[in-house]
Amino acid sequence: MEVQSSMAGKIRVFVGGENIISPLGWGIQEAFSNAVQGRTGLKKLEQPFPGISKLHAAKFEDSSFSTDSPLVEFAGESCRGSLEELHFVHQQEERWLFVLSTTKGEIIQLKNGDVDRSNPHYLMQRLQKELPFSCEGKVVSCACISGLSALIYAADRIAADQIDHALVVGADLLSEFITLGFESFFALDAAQCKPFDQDRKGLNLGEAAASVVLSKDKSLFKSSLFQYLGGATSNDANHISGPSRTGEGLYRAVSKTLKYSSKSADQIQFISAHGTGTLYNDEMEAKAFGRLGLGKTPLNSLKGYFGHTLGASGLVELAMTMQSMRMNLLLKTLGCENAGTEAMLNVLTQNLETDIRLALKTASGFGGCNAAVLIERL
Amino acid sequence: MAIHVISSCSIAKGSITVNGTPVFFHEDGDFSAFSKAAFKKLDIPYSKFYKMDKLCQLAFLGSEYLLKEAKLVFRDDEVAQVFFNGQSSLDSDSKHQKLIQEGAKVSPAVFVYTLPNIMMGEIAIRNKWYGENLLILKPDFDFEEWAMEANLLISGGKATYCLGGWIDVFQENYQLQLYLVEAAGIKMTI
Repeated sequence: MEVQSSMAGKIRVFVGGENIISPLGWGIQEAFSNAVQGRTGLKKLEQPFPGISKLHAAKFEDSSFSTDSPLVEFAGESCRGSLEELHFVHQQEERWLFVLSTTKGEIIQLKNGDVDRSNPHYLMQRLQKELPFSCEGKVVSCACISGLSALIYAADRIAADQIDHALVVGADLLSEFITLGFESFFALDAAQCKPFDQDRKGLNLGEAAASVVLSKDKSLFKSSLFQYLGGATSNDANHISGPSRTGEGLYRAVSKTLKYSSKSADQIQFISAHGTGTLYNDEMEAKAFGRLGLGKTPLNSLKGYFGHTLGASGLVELAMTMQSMRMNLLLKTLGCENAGTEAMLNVLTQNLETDIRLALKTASGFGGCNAAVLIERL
Repeated sequence: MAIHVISSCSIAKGSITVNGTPVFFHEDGDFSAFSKAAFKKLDIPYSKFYKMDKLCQLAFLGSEYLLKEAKLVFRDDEVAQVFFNGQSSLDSDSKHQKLIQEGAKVSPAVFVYTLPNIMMGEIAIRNKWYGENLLILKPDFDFEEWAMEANLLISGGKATYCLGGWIDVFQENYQLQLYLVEAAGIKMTI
């Protein structure tokens, strides 16, 4: 059996149109300006779900939505916002790919025994129907690297000239299903999470959608844009739920990303880390970055603003990083007062005004998966 | 560039076929009886197998039966895993949901399997593979489409080999079509 495909060419992939719908703000402008002022979408919730009396998490107000599918509403809203940043001439007729990244989609439907609707593919099709162009639709689901995995997948397809443009949206909902699971792992901090802090106790969960547009065509974007330089995924080959002690998988994902991008570690000016706030995850990241010689590179975690939004998180944090690079303003790691990992990191504990052209975004997740992406502001 | 299938393995309804040849059949019983018997026949010391959910057991069995035949030695970073999967982890999701609805204590040993990509982690751990992971959810399997995704990673220089294909599990329905592929080494122009 042999399959023919097109030759991988030297097609450049551009990224722009970033958007976020989250409890921190309805749209990326609002989320970013709230974050700059040190506000967070996280708060203490009383009885958010029947089986949970107290939870520190980022959750939309129920009044924000008018249907029984809040996820469809806020993921759809994120996509619409991204598409508003585009300048269509003939591009709607070209080859589009739509990718949804999610860990659990509408898993809340399982309570009603609705298996079909609980399948993220159903959610993708509902969102796809709303788009103003016909397109191929895909769901990428790879735990907490889903967002970056989806982005890398779409970028590779453009680079191989299989498609012209892609809309990538990450979305996950806060649910009793997820919350009780993380609770059973003793992974949650009962108060505000403290990523990379010496006293970090665990993570906070959140819900959000975030989207970006990738294209081979610069003229598609209304505002200034970014180039996707490269990205890679890896596996720790170590444990399905515990982070690697050596950071080997993340080390390899970043090394490969640098190689594919023809860049060296010392050229990276900023790292948007995963930084969940759990003891072992943050230590694993510190080890990996240390081994890469990135211990002095400015770094943040945005989990203190959004919580851990799972399948959305990679794209939420990439979108915020893009805004940071547009505004020349790096955000502090909200919740981190005294950085305290064994391997030293340059964790931002204050907002920093600086001009950044080259940024690394990373993520790691259950199943031992890791992902890294390098973007450049043009 | 095109891809070439080195080995394949399919599992469904109690039978395992490698490269088109039936190698194992378990007549009656449910998935659990089948998977235990198929695992015993492999005769490998790997007690972790018994902790895995159905999706992971199915992926693990397929990879072991396939790789045993393929008899290849891999570098630790040259095999990418690319899977198409129909019903995500809904089988384990339902177990976790059932515990919630019964008001029982939820179990981390169940919850950890409520993600469809965990099976790639199990295969990676077993084989010490640090390579690429990609999982796409879709309702049905088309080999040509999967081969294109595998080729994307191989021709893009991200992997030398790709292991994956179709995996789907829900309740007592299970199906695996697993392939190990590499570049065919024939340059094609279009």
